[in-house]
Amino acid sequence: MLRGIKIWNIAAAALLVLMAVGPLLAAEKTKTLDRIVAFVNGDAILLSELDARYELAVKLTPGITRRQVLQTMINRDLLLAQARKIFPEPVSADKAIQEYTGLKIRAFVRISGTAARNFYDANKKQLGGVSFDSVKDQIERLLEEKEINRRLQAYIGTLRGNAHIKTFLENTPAILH
Amino acid sequence: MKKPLFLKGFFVILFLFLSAFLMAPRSSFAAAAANAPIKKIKVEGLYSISSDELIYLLCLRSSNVIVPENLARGIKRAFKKGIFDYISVGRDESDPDVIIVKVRERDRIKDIRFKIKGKGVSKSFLEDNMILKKRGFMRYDLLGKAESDLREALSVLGYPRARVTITTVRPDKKGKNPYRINLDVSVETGQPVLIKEVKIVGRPEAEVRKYVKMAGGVYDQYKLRAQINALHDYYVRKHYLNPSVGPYSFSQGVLYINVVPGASYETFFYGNHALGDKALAALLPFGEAGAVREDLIEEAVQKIKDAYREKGYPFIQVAPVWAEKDGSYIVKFYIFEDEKITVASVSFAGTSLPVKSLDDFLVLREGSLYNPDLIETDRSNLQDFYASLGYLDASVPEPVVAKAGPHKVAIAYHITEGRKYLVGQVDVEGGGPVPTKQLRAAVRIKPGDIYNEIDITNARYRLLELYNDQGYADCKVAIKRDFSVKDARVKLVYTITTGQKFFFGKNVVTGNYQTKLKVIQRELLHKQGDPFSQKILLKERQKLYELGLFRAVDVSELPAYNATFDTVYRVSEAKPGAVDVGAGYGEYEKYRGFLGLSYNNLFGMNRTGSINLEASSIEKRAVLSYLEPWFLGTNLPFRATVLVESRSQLNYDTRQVSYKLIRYSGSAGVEKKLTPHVKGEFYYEFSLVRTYDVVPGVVLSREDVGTLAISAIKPSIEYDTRDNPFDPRAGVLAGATFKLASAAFLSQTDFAKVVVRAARYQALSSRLVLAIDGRVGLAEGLGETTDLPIVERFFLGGRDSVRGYTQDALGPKAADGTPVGGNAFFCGNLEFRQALTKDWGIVPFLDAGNVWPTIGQIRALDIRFSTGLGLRFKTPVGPLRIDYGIKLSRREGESRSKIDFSIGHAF
Repeated sequence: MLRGIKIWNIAAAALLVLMAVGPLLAAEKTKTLDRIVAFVNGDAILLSELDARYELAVKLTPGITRRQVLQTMINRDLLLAQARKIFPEPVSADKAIQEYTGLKIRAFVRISGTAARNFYDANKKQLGGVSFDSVKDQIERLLEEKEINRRLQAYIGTLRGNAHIKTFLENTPAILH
Repeated sequence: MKKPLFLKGFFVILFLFLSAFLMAPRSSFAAAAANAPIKKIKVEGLYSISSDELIYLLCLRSSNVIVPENLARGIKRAFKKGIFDYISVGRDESDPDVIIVKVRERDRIKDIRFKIKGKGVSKSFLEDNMILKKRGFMRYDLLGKAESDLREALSVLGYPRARVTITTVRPDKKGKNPYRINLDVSVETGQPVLIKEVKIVGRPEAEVRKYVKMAGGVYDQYKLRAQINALHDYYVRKHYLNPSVGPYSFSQGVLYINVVPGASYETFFYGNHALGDKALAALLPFGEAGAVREDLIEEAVQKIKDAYREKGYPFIQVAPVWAEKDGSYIVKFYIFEDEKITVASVSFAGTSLPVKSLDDFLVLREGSLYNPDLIETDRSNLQDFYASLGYLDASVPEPVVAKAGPHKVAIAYHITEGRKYLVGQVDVEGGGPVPTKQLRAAVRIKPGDIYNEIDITNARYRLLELYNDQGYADCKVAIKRDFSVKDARVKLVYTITTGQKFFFGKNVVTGNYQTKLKVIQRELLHKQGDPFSQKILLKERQKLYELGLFRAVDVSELPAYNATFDTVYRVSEAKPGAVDVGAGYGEYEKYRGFLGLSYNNLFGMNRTGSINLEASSIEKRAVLSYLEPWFLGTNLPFRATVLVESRSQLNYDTRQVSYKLIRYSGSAGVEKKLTPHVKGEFYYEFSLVRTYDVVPGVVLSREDVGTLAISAIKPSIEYDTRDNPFDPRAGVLAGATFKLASAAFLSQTDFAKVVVRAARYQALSSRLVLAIDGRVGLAEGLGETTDLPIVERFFLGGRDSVRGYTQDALGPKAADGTPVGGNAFFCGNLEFRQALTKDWGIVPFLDAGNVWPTIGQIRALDIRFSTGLGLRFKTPVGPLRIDYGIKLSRREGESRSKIDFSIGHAF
């Protein structure tokens, strides 16, 4: 069969494909040096920042996507903006966020003895039959972290609802001429 | 059919060639592009600001290589401009020397167009309830919320079935600015919900009918809530403690409102004379607390006692009696005022200081009302005063207060001064780059000075300021004090930790949608690379405010990088146009009106254009003026004015026309602030004046009839230290204006004239201001000109000069009594501006002045005086005033007095 296909036919077909795709290749003339990938209210997040953060994140969490990293960066910006109202510079950004979430969320989380007991009863087998008293503190810490995480997510959801956020990770906006 | 071999070969070669051509730039780019210097910058998608501004913010410079960190910072900085959604910077793959910047600006809402189907809903109501505003940036993510907000607002207004649709339209398809959109808001109100009946639950309807008037109308909950609030306030006024109006419910056309006024209270005062019932009732806390309780009654008693003590009743006694009946309270206060006490004397023992200097710090002085609550304040003030003089061990115990005759007490202080400490030595350490001499000058404290904590702390602030102004934003100054009890000396050591030196970076200006960037930039006092200083930022903010273009100016710095602060100037533009319309009535002019239109941001360059039209029964005037604040690119205001005027001068008694004139005048010149208080001006003025229908007696010179060209230069200088030009309380206004008309400037008349004035304003107390003003004008005809043309002669009398006299009526007169003006005048005014309330005031005044035909005919004793009283009402542009002036040197045939109305002070 293949022998029946003439070499010049293949060349002509390839030429046609090339002519069709060629202009598209020619149109992609700009090599991006840096650009905005998202903004959160008045602050821009850049491609270079995302790349740097992604490089670190992928080492810690293999398989994490750039989109997930960008969402984390947006959440961090939202929290930082709130934290800066109470902890302005020169307090570092990480410290400000930590202190702020401590004040705003951690301070209000209390795990009751009943909740710890219920968790113990529900997971007695997985805990290997150890006594409640020996794991009580660990259970309380675990439940506390879970609750903090839940409240933090809810708080970030509220912040997101009130914020002006746009992302341009894959789709860049049309430039008007 | 077989293709020829050469055709096959052609296709293969063409394929290889095209492949090589299309791939070549991409493969060569990697090698050449990495760090090629910038040769050209192309900007795409930018409309609202210049490419230069964007490139400046991005920190892209021709012939520079791109540093990734700088580029990232540049994009973030440009984003702070607030008009971009997206910015991308890349290299042209086919030409790596070319940088391509692509931006997507934020859409701004050019107009919101409402289409309302149905009645009862106004455009302004919809505008107020729209989250998206005209001239604001478009938020597409809020479009749905904007619709639901409007639906909710309409539902509350009584239209729960309203439909709202918002669509966006991009009107400018021609490319002038594609980032402008319109919002089309379509509203179908639907049928309103009507209230058939209102039922009040808990109170008789007659009681609330005055406040709740909803029956028969639309179920408008905005209106309903306002009426409920009014009803609540009514119950509060009626001394109900916790009135509850609402909640309300609506069902089947019936509105139900629950009203529970709750308990009420009544108060009675007995034995009070110095303070009235109303004043005492205002002190009671029951209404605010919503209860009558034991502790609140105690609080009320204390407040009443305090109020009496302030009035000089130190022995006041208050006995409360209260009772509850049927949920209502009756509270009675029995007041025993006792005697009113004043301070007979205040004496000091053990002090080496002048009594007067101590007395100045006291509230309770000789003759003042005695209030025991102020004793501790006075004692503490004296203690602080001693400490400020270096008496660190001084002791001021509580004074002895003793009876000193009927209704009087004597206060005696027994002070132990202790040793007086002086400054022994002053050292400044760690000064770094600032010369010692400069540091010493900032500290100001010298060995031998009195030890004073306030001075010592102030010196620290001066040192901090010195370093902060030089870019050391994190500078710290610590003070160490070594006390030597032996010789009562204190050694002071100021230790300076300079910290890092910071510099100004780039400026980001945002919010200037109408105003050109240049207008803001030229007001800034720093350049990139100058030492960073907060003081400079404050001054710049002040300067931007003073432009009159902005409602708000906020200046802040972005986080530092490489010891550099970028600064952000956020401005909020004010409306550039203004319209002034007014009408009035004057004894001489009869009806008069004016219309003024002005625009202070022509071409976005802070240029002002204005037109003022005035008309009355005797005068018509149009003035067109233009002000360029930066003439020829320098800070030199240029002003040009064109005036057209038609005027009839009347005889005041007979109202016969003495003469008429038409004047066409143009002037142009520059003004310059030579110092913060001194302003110089230089103007050229050309006028064509046609005088006609002149009564023979009024003619003084050949120029008084016919058409005359006056061409003159007018330099002037002004010194102004007034605190408020519209209503000064302190300062001086002095100046001199010189005018020279000469044939050398193609003038048909030659003369020189000068007017000198000086005014002084001095606050004598918080409510009384003394204002004195003196003006002298001298003119002389030059060459063949003896008498000045009538439009250039001096006139005096009336609302702004010598009140009590008719406008311009002083000085030489024609045979028919018409004033003809003169070549010399003097005018002096004295006012005592006494404020009565926040807005009202009275002004007793004394005016003096006269006009003489020539300088040689000035007679020092021939001065006309008037006195009188004025009433003032404050407005933002100066007081509205009525002056009643009485002639003190009245001549035969003259009226005794005159009333003048005007705006602004007389001087």
